[in-house]
Order: sequence, then C-alpha cells, then structure tokens
Amino acid sequence: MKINIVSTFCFLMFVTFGLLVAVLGRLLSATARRRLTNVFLLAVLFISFGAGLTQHNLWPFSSWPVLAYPAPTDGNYPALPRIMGVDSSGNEYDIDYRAWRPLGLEELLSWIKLHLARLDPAARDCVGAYLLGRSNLARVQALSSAGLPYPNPWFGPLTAPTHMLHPAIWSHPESVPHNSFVGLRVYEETWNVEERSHDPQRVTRVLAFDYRQ
Amino acid sequence: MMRLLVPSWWTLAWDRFWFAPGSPRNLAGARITFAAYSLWVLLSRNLPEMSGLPPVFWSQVGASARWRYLDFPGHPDLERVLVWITAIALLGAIVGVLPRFSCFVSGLLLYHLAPLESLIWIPHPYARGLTISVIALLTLSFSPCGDCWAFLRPRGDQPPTQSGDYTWPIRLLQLYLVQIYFFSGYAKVMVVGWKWASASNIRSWMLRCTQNEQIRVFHALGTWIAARPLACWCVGIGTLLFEFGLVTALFSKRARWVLVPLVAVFHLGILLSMNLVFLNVPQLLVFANWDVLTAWFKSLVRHQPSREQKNALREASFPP
Repeated sequence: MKINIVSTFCFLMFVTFGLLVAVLGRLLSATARRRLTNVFLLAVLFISFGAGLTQHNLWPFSSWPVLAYPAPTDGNYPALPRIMGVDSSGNEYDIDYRAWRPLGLEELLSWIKLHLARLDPAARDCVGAYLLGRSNLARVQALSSAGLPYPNPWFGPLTAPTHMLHPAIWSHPESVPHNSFVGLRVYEETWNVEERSHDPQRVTRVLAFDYRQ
Repeated sequence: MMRLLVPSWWTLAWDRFWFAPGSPRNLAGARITFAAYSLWVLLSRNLPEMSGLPPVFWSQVGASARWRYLDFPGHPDLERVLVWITAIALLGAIVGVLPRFSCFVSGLLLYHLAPLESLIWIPHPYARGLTISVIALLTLSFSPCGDCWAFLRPRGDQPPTQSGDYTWPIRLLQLYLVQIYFFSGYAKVMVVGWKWASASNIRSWMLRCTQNEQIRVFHALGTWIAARPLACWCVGIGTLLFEFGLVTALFSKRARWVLVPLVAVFHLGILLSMNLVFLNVPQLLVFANWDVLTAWFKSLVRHQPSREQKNALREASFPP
C-alpha cells in the first residue's frame, strides 16, 4: 500500500512540474523559464534515480530488476504451474498460450502461483469454469480454417509479442485436440536444471488443481 | 581534477548537457517514434477485456492499487472507449495534430491502461512495453515537440531554429532508456552480487529458459552457451559491462555510435538464447540525428545528394 501511495505521489509530482514548465513557462522570461525547467529536471532525476537506486518500483518510474534473481545453487527452481486440458477419455493435452487471451500466459501463471490456492472452493471452480470455456473456444478456433486469431487482426503476425515468447502449439489443425475438454488440471512442475540437461523427462509434477465440468 | 570542485564548472556542464542548442527535428522525430511505438503495443493487447475478466481474478487486487491507476473490474466498454481515445491521440501525435495535447492525453491514458495487463497479480507492469511510453509521451507534451513536422500547431508558423528547449526533452528521453540498463545492472549487483556474472549463474539461467517448455521457442543458442563455461563468463561479464557502460552514450558521440546499435544485438541475443522479448528497441531512434537522416532521405528521393548532405552524413549520424 505504501509503495502505491508513494508512486502515485511521484507521478503526480512529475505531471505537476511538467505542466508548470509547459504552461507557466510561456509567461516567464527566458531566465525564469530555464530555472523552472531545471526544477522539473531535478524532480525527474530525483524520482527516477530514487526508484532505481533504492530498488522500489515506482512505476512508471521503474527500478528495472530484470533477471536480478540468483539462480538456486542446487539447481532446483521454484515450482512452475502448467495447465492441461482433459478430455472425456481422461487424456491430457497442453493448451496453446493464445487460448487465455486477454490474459497473457505469464500473467495467468503468476496469478495462479500467487492466488489460486488461497481461494475458497467456489471461487476456484469459477476460475476453472472460465479457463475451461476459454480453452474449448480456442480449440474450436484453432481447428477452423482461419486458426486462432491474432489480438489485432490488422497487425497479424506483426502484433507485438509479450515479454516472454511462447510456442504456438496449436498453429496446425493436426496438433489440436479434436475432442472437447471436460476438465482442467493445474500441475506444479519442478526440475533440477542440471539433471534435466541430461534427461529432458526428469520433471516432477504435483497436481495443484483439478476442475471437472 | 581541480575544476570538478568549482561550482561554476558543474553549472556549465549541466547547461551544456541539457540545454545545448538542438534541432526541432530531433524532438519531432522522438514524438513520432514514441507515438508510433506506443500505438503498436497498445493495439497489440486486449487491455479492455482485462477489466471484463470474472471478478474472482480481481479479488486479490488491493484498493490502493485500483485507485492508483483508477483501474476497476467490470468496465470493459468504458476501457474500450479509452483505448480508442488513446489510439486517436497517438495518431494525432504521429501526424502532428495538436501534438502536445495529443501526447499529454495519450500519456495519461496509457498510465491508466498499461497496468491492466498485469494488475491482477502485480501493480507495476514494467518490461511489458509501455513503461517508458508513459513518461516519454508526457515529457514530450511538456516540451515544444510540435514545432516541426506537425499539421496543426498551437503556435503560429515559426521557422524552426536551434534551441536549448529542443535538447532537454531529448536528453530526458535518452536518460529514461539508459536507466533501464543501468538499473537492471545495478539490481543484479545489489540483489545477487557480482557473482551474477559467474558462469554457473549464467548457465543456470540459460538452462532454465531453454528447458521450460512453456517459453521454449528458441533453444539452440541458449543450450550452446550453457555448455561452454567461457561463453557463460563472456555473457555474464559482457552483460554487466554493457548495462553499466551504456550510460556513456549520454555523453559521448563515439559511445553512441558503438553502443546504441549494440543494444539491438544485445536484445537479439537475449531473444534467441532466453526467449525474452524487449520491445523498446525502436525507441532507440531517440538517439538518431534527424537532421542528418532527413538530408539523407531527401538525397535518396532526389538521387543526387548535395555536397553538404554528403559531408553531413559522413560527419555524424548522431547529435553531439
């Protein structure tokens, strides 16, 4: 909460000083205008370096902690959720990342990791029903001749990708499951990077959520 | 060294950095670049639909985060209207119809819209493509960015001249971009320490990104690097050197020539080895000298470059 308040204050300060430069600056002499611009520049430097050097993310003045995490010394990373569709025969299938739109896959997985377990059963079922509906709709679209649509049809393949790339596993109709999903499962996957570099199948899966229609 | 202790030296250096005479074309080029880029990212996302997600997805978003951006669930139609207003404002900024007002409106609306992408779990959507756009468009709106390449200008027809008022906004935009790398390097050293650059850490990152089937699109380069300790050391040390060294592009023309194009190569390497996309690369055009580029473009159109244009091109492609 504190960080939200401080960030809002910093953003409002940025906009206020900027507007003063833009509006008041026209009415002032060149020297006074320069002085006002200097105040604005100092304010921006203070906010942006304050965010970066203290590593407090005051978005849009970000601290940019890109990949600033230590790799685990034992090679075991935290568990990563993986969503699977289940058909009436009990077969499991991976689901194309485009099925979750408007949610980006990394946003959805992060949300699941942080919040899904904390929800009560009714709320979890609500999530399950929504995701099942999205995955079945995407499955039908992927099987059609048009395929899964881009978020913006005008841009087509030039649509800006998300921060993480994801393989488009339902790009060809033959790779799309032909039967409707009747359930969804969320697994938590863990693996040791060194062990998996020798054997790609060495992954531990724990069922975290099982939804049936 | 003694001159560093003299206050007037700092004042002069400050003025030289922020207020050296600059061209209105550079500012107009930045306006068009940032507006076009922001429009591309905005229309590539389905941000209004995020407001229409089932309420359960929003249940964990705190009140302070919602009020901070005025983002609330259940208003996809309103958000759709706001996206269209933002898109129209960005188009206005590109073609120069009330350019400063357009930049201001689009910057403010992007501050509201961009967090929708990730607000359900995190209140700061950095690295998703619109972070720099918000502060850059607002900065442009505070500056005379409509004095050149604009259809409708709030002021009358004035011949663009060199002025310090065209320089400080460009410097600020360049600083925003350079800070991404500087703070990214700083965060690595602060959180992990210098051992972030070690071969074992880089190998672990490469393996993690290439083994995760949910993000694995490219894997050959990452696996190749992970298998070679020397390559891992080079990537680790090179990354920190590059992230801290890019600051020099603000002060040195030679550094700009070398490092700014290297940013694109750097991100291509990250994309191919770790499957991570950094969209802001087109914004690096803010380092370009648009006077020179315009002269070059005109010479292409005319097929007979003048001697002055040739000399200008030979001399520099980046502003001093």
